[in-house]
Amino acid sequence: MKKAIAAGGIRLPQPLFIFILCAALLVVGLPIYAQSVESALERSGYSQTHKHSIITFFAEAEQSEIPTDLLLPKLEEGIAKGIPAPRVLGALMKEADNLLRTRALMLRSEEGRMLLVDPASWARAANLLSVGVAEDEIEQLIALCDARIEGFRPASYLYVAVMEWGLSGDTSLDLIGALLSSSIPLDSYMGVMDLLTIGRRRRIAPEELVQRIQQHLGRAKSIKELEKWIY
Amino acid sequence: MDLLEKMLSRRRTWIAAVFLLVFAGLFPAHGYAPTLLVGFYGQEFFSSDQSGQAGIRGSALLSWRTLIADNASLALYARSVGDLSPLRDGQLYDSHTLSLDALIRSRSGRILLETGLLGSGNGTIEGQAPYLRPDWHVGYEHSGDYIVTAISYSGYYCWQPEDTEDSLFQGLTLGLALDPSIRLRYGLEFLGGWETWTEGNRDDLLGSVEASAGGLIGYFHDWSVAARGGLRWSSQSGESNLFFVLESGWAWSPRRQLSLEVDAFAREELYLWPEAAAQEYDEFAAGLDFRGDWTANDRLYLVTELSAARRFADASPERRWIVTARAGIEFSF
Repeated sequence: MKKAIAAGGIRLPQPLFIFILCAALLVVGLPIYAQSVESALERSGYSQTHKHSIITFFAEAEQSEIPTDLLLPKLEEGIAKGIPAPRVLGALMKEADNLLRTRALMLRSEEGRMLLVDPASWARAANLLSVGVAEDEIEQLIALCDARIEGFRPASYLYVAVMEWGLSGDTSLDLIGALLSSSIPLDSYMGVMDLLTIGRRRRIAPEELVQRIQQHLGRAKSIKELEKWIY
Repeated sequence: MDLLEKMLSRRRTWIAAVFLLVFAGLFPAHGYAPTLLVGFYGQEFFSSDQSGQAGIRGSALLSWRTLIADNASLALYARSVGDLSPLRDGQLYDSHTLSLDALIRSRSGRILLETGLLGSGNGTIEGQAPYLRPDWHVGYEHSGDYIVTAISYSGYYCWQPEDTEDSLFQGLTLGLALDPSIRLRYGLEFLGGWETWTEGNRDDLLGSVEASAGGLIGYFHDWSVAARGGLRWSSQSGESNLFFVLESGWAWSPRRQLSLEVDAFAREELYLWPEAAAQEYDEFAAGLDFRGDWTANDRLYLVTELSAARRFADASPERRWIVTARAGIEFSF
């Protein structure tokens, strides 16, 4: 059968031929982002006008060299939660704006340019903006990662947590800087928050405890080891 | 004469060593500021033995760790608590804790030397008679990437002047801790020990195994749970029992101003030959503790505590319940 088709001995029915041709053109002609966006929009109940606005937005984002992968999750989340299209579009525009702003600030330093290669780090930096972290704090955080560039994301999560808990920006950055210069594994940065809460239960002021942590980070290989020396 | 000189020389060496240790502590290489805390509380104490009575509690705490070398530290912890219930009996109840530990870090592990003293001069408000209990502990921990193995010897001597229950305990513990991630940790511990009553003709052998787990939930919650089971084999057959203990804890501090803790326990003792005991009994006890505190400035803490415990037993004198509600302030200097 395959040989017969290849030799042109068998003619396909016209409607099937047109469908295959259209599908091939769609696959070749449309960028991947458009396929993903359209695929997501197919699952939505949005009007054609709204769908068109969203597709246009993604095309513009692509022209601004913002990877679709960084914006698509927000669209999918909005659709899954049944959020109206105008609100989803507003959130997407805000996200794109954050990505552009963070890219601009990341391009100002060598560490930032290294981080920009990793879309997940770029997205994380944009996320910091969206949760209210100031641009200069993000720049400082990026600068602290020069020794351990892969530590940006775990360090940024810890930074947001200790700030939310109540440490000042300067104390938090001092702590993060010392941590990134240590050999504490990146996946255990969360444990530093636990050290602070345990210290609080022992009535050790957080700023005092941060000093003790900084003092011992050079010697400890793990959070558990650090814990033995600071209380 | 030579012997006397040798003894004097040895004595001088000891004195010099002690002075060195003391001065190393007073002028540490990297000493921490001590934590000094005093607390005053009002409390309401209810129990099945006595009617509920209001009272006051005062407490003082000193905690201090000082580094005597890059790989060694000394720590002191002292806490005293006094309870006064003017409407009940006007007696001052007290309890005290003192401990001193030395931590020495080796290339792949830690050596811990610890000694302490628990005691009460007038008895505790929970009903414990006056006692003095020195304890000691020598341990070594070997740290791998994810597994920590530990071995320790520990003991205590419990002296109760108003009772004939003085006892000496010594035990050996083997422990294994597995930390696959910072979010989750597991532990397994085996204990073998011997307890002897110095004023009576009783010797007990004790064996237990404990499995534990704990970890973090997000950045602001931590939790732990431990289950322990064991056998006490006594030369007084009426005292031999199987015991099972379940303990759990949860702590939450979403902001530096606030901390909440909840602990719960349940303990079951099944006596192997209750008919040989003075009073037939099996026991089950369970309890819940809550503690919350708030501070605006890391110095003055507003504290509230609530605890409830109940013990069920075959023998009616052993059945009781206790509920304590306490609120007060703590000041950290």
